Amino acid sequence: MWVERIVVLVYLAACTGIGVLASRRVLASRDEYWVAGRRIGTAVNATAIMASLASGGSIIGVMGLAYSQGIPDALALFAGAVIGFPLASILVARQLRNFGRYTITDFLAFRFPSPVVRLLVPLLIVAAFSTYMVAQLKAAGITAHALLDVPYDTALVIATLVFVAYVSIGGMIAITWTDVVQGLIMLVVVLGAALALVWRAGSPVELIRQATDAAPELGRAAQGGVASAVGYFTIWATAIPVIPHIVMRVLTARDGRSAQLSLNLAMLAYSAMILAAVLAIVPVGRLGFPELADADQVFVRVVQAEFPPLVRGVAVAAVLAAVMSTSDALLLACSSAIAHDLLGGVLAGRGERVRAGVQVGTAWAVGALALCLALSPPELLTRFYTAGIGLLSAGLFVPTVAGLWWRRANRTGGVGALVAGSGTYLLGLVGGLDLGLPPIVVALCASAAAMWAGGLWGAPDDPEMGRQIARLHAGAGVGP
Amino acid sequence: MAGDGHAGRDAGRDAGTDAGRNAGRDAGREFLPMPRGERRALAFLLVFSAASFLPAWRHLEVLGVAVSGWMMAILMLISPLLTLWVFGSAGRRR
Repeated sequence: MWVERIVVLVYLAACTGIGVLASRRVLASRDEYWVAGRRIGTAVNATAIMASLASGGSIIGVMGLAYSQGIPDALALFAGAVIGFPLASILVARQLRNFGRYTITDFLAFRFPSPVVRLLVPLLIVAAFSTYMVAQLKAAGITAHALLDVPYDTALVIATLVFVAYVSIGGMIAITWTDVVQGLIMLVVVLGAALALVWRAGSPVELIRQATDAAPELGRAAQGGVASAVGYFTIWATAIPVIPHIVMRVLTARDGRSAQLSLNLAMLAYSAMILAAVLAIVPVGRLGFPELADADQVFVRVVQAEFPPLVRGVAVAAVLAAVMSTSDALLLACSSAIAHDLLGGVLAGRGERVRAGVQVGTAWAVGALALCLALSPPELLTRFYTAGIGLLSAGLFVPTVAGLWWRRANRTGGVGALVAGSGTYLLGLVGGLDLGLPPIVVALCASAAAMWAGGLWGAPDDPEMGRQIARLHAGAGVGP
Repeated sequence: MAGDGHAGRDAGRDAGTDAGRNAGRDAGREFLPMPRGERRALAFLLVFSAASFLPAWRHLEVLGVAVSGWMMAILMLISPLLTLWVFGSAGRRR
């Protein structure tokens, strides 16, 4: 047990050290704090994007979902995220990078200038990402408890303290470099574990055949129905282009082309990791542990049973890396939603010292809230945080894409699409609107209908707005 | 997305240098133009995704796993490769 604990301690110390080093230059500048000075190269950004997306859900959650609901439905959910990357790289990456500000709220409030947008978008981000962070912290807690014999609550507190510390003082630069380290650890552990297990089984075909012979439900689709699979897929496909922690990474890129390339390279690495987890590690888990009460435990059990202490230590570090690399990006996005989007007007003209103090304080407040909620965690990670992400994609996808591409998009349509999308999704979640379709599909249709109606019957935007959007497509920033 | 497949050129004109000459031509379009390669890649991925959810694939199995699952796995590999190829081709042309 001590070997595993020492490996994890070294990893946590390295993350904190990166935060301290980064703090020397980020606290004096908003550009450095929120978007790392906009000079991150393609390879570094690709690794960081992959790490930001590959959360505890992508290691613990995807295996839990495949174990409990079958490989096809798990892949449907995660393939949605993978399709989201080409959507993001084609539909929004270059233009948002050219926009050159800090958050998705900045863009939407510029494109559809209204107090509703300025207020509602950050509130949706805070609500959705707090939920997402709670799920991440649960993954850290159960892994550390199972593999390090550290009490769940203690593991939560330690993980939260470390990532809140380096985010609050190191901003986006600290997140980028810790994410690179964390992304590499995740890739090595998941791909390495999968290769070792396939090697022992003889071939991947043999492994899958044995597992599906022993547990045919592992390979079957439709346990939750087509609608459920389509819903998961759609949520993630439409979320990636607009979720703030990915958009902020786009904004850190050196230029629009680098942003597009890094999104696709990240997707390639992410796909390899998900496929290795679902097609190699889950079958071994299903064969070795056919009756797990908590499906989210499958990775932990396989690692415990199949690998020596040093590998187990690195595996815990990988899960913590997955949790922290996503949580840190979520925390920064939440902090920016509060300190920049909501309080930006109040802080204007107060000086960089006050602004830096609010940035750091906000990060600690959000981290403390997530920690309190995580002490009573949800049952199945993936479902819980996917609902939060669904809320964001329902509200933000149509206004963002239409705002960049549809010439008739206007303020009435943009505000209507935001309110109709998020409101319809919430209604669908609580059961107030059952049309026999996944809530996300209904919500996106409602959002698109509101945008279309606004474009037809609302007052047209100033023609200058059209010229500004064309400049974003052309590679120039917006005018003053 | 409507467009003639030369987004960079058209958008550059939109941005100001030749705005007057192209304004009339672009004015009737509902959407800003998108490069042809990106438009085709997007269409292919959306059609492939939709096809993966056809009910027939959920009952056929290969190696004990539903074909819909294998199609998702293929989608996860070809979508990044296809998009990288499209961007790479566009970069070489530039």
